[in-house]
Amino acid sequence: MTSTKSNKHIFWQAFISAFIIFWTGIMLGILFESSRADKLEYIYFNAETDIFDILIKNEIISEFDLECDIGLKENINFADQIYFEARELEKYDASTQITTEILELHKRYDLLRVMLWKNMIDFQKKCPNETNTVVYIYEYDDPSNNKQAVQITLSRVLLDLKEKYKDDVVLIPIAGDTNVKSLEILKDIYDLTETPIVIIHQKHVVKGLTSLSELESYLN
Amino acid sequence: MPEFVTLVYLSFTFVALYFFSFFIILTLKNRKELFSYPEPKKNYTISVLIPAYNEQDSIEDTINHIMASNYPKENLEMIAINDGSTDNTLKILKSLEKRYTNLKLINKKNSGKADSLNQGIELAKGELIAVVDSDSFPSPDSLRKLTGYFNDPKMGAVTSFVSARNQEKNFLAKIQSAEYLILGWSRKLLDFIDSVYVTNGPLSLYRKSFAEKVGGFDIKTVTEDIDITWNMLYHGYKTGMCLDARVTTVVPHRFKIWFAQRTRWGVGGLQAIAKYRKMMFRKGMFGMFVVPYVSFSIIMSIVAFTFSLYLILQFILTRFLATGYSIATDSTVFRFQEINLYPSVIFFFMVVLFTLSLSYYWYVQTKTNQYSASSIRKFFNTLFYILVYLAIYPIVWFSSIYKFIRKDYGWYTK
Repeated sequence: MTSTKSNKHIFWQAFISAFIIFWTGIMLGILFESSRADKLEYIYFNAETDIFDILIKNEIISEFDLECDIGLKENINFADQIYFEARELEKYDASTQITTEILELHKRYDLLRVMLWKNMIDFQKKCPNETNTVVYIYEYDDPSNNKQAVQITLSRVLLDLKEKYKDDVVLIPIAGDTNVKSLEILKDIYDLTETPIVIIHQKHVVKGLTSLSELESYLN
Repeated sequence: MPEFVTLVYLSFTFVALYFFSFFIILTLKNRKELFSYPEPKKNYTISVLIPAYNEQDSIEDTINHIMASNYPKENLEMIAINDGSTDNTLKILKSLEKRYTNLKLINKKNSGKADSLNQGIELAKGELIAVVDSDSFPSPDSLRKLTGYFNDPKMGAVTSFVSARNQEKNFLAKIQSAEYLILGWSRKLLDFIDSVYVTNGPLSLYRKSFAEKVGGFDIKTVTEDIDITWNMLYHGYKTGMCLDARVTTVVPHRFKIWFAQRTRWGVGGLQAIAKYRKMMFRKGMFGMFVVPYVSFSIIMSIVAFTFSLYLILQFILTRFLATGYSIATDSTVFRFQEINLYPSVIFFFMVVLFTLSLSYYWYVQTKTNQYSASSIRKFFNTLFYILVYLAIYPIVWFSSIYKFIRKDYGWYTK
């Protein structure tokens, strides 16, 4: 039997060993999460370029009195693109536990979606069309179990709507509590005081749970 | 700053890594001595105490196993204590008494195992006391392998390596077999830092003079083996473990009996902590390691279980509500896109810890050559033990705490 003396260093040796493994894991985790954030950053950069392109294009259409159809299709495509990117972002976000880069990116994406919403409002004014703008404002930061369940359901209802009406619906989900100042102004304008909430054409406001048929009744 | 949940997970991960490193380093440092044992410098006289309450099915086999020991018979005395059995235990013991001349019989009213052992100690003439449960079966050389530890004049108690005799009975028995393996192995590792904190009931040896000095077995505790070990450590005596001294025991194969047994063990552990709480962080391995280690293990196990259960229930509640709402709104109930396949850092940590644990358990199994089952079944049993058995075991602690608080011990006399 080995004496205790030869094992007396075991306590700090185990601590050092655990510390090294733990911090190696944390460092790898930070690298891993940062690489994900970098990937999203690249996608975001492209999306940002696209929206500026669309904004300028809309200005040109308005300025030179060009055909509205030229801009409409691109608005819809862009909305679809950032909608599906946002869904991936949500998953990355849920798997991010150490770093905060993706949280920052989330806020920037929300800003991008507010820009898209504002652009859709302007575009509708300049080029009235049959496309339905459906904005979904939800709670991002730690919703209660019930609210989370309502939001999961609303996401499903809205995706059903999008799948059914395809290009006739522009779906813009925005987190309502990431402190995007421009969104706060829009919320004040349309008197949107709670989440989750669905706004169709800036006219019909649906609070809480809703069904596909109810939303359909507000569409053009 | 990570969220609270993440911080809790990371803290658990660090603690798990610490204890994993602790046992790995202990294994590596002492790998050549895991199965070694000191040769006895003299032939100690041993009194083997066999307390029995309603053990008609196993008592004869137990005594036959002790009689088959290769320990010199002239130094071996056996004392069977019938603790007021209501079955045929007494009848069997009386017939065995006629067969074996060195078997003495104490027949008394039912007063519990601890009291039975104390009465046995009073009658015993040996320098060492061996306690053998009446449903346990020591291997022929186990007594000899244990006695060498008493060359150390400070050695108070030495315990053996227990395995499940009925491991092929059913799945619960198989899982306990995996559990006994780990318990025995970790107990041996703790021996290298003088911290063996349980000298098990199936087979343990005590120096009689020390057992008497510490007041014998405490009749107020439900696990007299834990109590006397802590008492020995408290009085500055050493405890040890021999991995090569084997004993098999009958493990419960019915859930209800298993749960009752484990609850009793849990209550016994809590009684020991309560009794020796003032020793916490005091001088010596007992105060600085044994008491905090056992207390911390219980707390960690309960906190981890409660926290995980809370998160799982939250998830289930949310999904249940969402499904109800989806049905009510006539929308799609589930979409595959909702499944998040992006792993998190915590997930990677869990995978690493799980893989390390599985590899280590596999190493222990190989070293101890425990199972006769096929490799795939062995692997499945280990997997189940790590993933399910250990995860739900804290339920036993809740039951133990409840009984401990209510002082519902109920095992003094049975």
